[in-house]
Amino acid sequence: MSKRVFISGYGIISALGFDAGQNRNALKNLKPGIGKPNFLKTRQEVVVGEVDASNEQLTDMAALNGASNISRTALLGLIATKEAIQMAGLNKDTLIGTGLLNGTSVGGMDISERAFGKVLNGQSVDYKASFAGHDCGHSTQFIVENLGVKGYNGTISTACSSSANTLMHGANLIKSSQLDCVIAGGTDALSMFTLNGFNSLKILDSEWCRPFDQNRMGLNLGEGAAFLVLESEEHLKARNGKALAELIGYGNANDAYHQTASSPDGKGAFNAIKTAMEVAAVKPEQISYINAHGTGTANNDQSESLALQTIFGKNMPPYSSTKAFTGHTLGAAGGIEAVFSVMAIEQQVLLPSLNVKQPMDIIAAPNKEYKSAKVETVLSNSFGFGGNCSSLIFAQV
Amino acid sequence: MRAYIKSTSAICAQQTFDKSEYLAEYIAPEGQYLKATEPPYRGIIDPKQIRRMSRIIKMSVATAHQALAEAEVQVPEAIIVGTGLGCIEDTIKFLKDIIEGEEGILSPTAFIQSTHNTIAGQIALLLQCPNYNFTYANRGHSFENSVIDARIQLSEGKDNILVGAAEEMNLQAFEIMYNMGCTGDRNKNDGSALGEGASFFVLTNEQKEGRPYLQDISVSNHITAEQLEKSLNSFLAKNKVDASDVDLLLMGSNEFEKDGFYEKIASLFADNTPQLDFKKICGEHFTASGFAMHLGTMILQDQVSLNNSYLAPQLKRPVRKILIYNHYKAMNHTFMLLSI
Repeated sequence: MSKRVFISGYGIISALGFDAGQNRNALKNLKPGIGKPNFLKTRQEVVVGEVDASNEQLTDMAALNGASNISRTALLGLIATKEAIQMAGLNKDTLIGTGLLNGTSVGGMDISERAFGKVLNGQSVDYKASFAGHDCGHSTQFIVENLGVKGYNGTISTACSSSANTLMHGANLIKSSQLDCVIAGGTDALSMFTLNGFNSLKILDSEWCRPFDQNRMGLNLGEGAAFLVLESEEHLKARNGKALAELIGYGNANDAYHQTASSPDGKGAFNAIKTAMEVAAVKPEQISYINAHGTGTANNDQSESLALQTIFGKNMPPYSSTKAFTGHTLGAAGGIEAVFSVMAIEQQVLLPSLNVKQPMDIIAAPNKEYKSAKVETVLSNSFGFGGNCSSLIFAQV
Repeated sequence: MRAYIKSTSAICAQQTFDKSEYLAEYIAPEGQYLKATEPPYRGIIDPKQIRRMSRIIKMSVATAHQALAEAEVQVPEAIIVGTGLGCIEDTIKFLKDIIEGEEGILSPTAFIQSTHNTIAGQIALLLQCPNYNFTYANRGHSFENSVIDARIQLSEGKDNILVGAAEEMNLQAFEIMYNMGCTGDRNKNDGSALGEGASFFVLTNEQKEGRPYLQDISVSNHITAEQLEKSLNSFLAKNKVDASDVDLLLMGSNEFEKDGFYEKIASLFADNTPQLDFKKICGEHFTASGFAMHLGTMILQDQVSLNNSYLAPQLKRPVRKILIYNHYKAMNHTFMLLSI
């Protein structure tokens, strides 16, 4: 199991923009994508990280002529995977043997929740068109069919760590020689279901979220998709591809504390980070930058900070949460932040946190600027409901 | 690589959880889908918890508990669950609350329990299991994704891996699926009625005399009947198995969808190869193949007699090799080879 896993391309769509360049510029210019929703229909007074395009516009962007009733989850996923394939330079023949792993928390809920309202009100509904895309596996199938990806595919649904787990599983599939090339990441659209869910848990900030601020009030939800092309060394060489970074470590652990809340001492987070560092064979002082989970809830940031303190102690590397830019994109978050981690390596920069006025007293303040630094190794954390904790480590090549 | 099966437990429409009564008497289904025959949960789950758990959680916790107890494993080194629709009951409940209350004040309980990984998460919580915890929700390959991952984890040296398949149905979900044309007539008992249930396994690297094992698994998507034939031949060849070595075919045949795939597979085996259509027992659902693996394991392990008139395959004895073939809507195809 000593095979190396390289990243040769990525694609991303989020509240920051429709492609990698737009996302990078928004980070660079400290320009968050959080605002009032234009497309999500809700009565809640909230700010969200919404992708700035209607379903029709996304359908056009995905080059699906005239298709309708397709979930934003599937559309965002297709747009991001297309960019990833293009950046990696995978051709049609290569795609036949390529696998695809998709992480999503609610799949096609954005379409089915509206139709379900009609069902409850006794209105007529086209059942097939409205509900056939509800399950999480639908977006995966939709993406592979539209891309012509014929290899193994999988869908992971572990709440907010879903797409971090697809990257971990993708690396495992390459290391165990089951695949040479796999597109892994995730997609999730905003929905009334998740918005009201997080609202009922009273962990939404009605203003811009403030991850790692002493007075943080909760998270902002977001939507988006991001996928990375993972390849074995042989596969990359054989097709003259270029490695942008390497996925050198990953760890998954369960907090086994509460169905939604994180343990106060961050036990699961600690175990996930520790395992990832063991797999990567790196010491704490070798981590150049941490892209934290940092949702902005009282509970997560406390728990994550303590886990980071336990691991890094006085050698705490610069860290930040990019969720104040994108919102918490749930199943897509691990993929989006994996892309940001790779960007930090490519650009040799630290990514900023936003909205931090008063740093927490248990941890040093997060990095607040987009600034040049030697970035060799990046740790990216994703934690979710069900106690699911995942950490990934990316390295410069 | 072989994944040895230390134990298995299942809940489905027929009696499978109480192994002293295993498929002993045919239970005629009531209602429009094959509702699971659930055991009394007291004695398995803390009564305080039972009330709060949805049926998919109860069925999964009970079967996971039985599988772990039989394997004499306290804390598995990984928990991996496959579920196509996940916690659909709580999902529908929360959605109803949102719509009927017009996005007013809501209790978060149903939302908390609606995520797909509630199942694996709850099991981890009850076992205080801090280890690897994954959930796959990939239509007709949700359980297959889980098994493939479990094999990787075994090859990496983890042992005693809890793997499961779980699905629940309720009236509202049924009505939607009925209107989508996803179900046949349950009165025909042809495997086309929708079903539900949970099947759990403890997998190990440890070989033992008389212990069944999953010899191999192969999945493919969107293939033709000709490609399917090729795929079966290479699967058998890779495992050095001749068609005549297969003592039993466990097939996901579903008369509702006459598609030629099951006929194709059957035609590749001698006419006297016993065949059992497992969906007559568990119904059609995204993780029906999980039940097939459970049933195959039970047959290999205990040489379970299948004397029921509604099953009735004439088994050659002893059964040493079972081939499972299933497909979901001609998209997700699966072969699993179970041996002892």
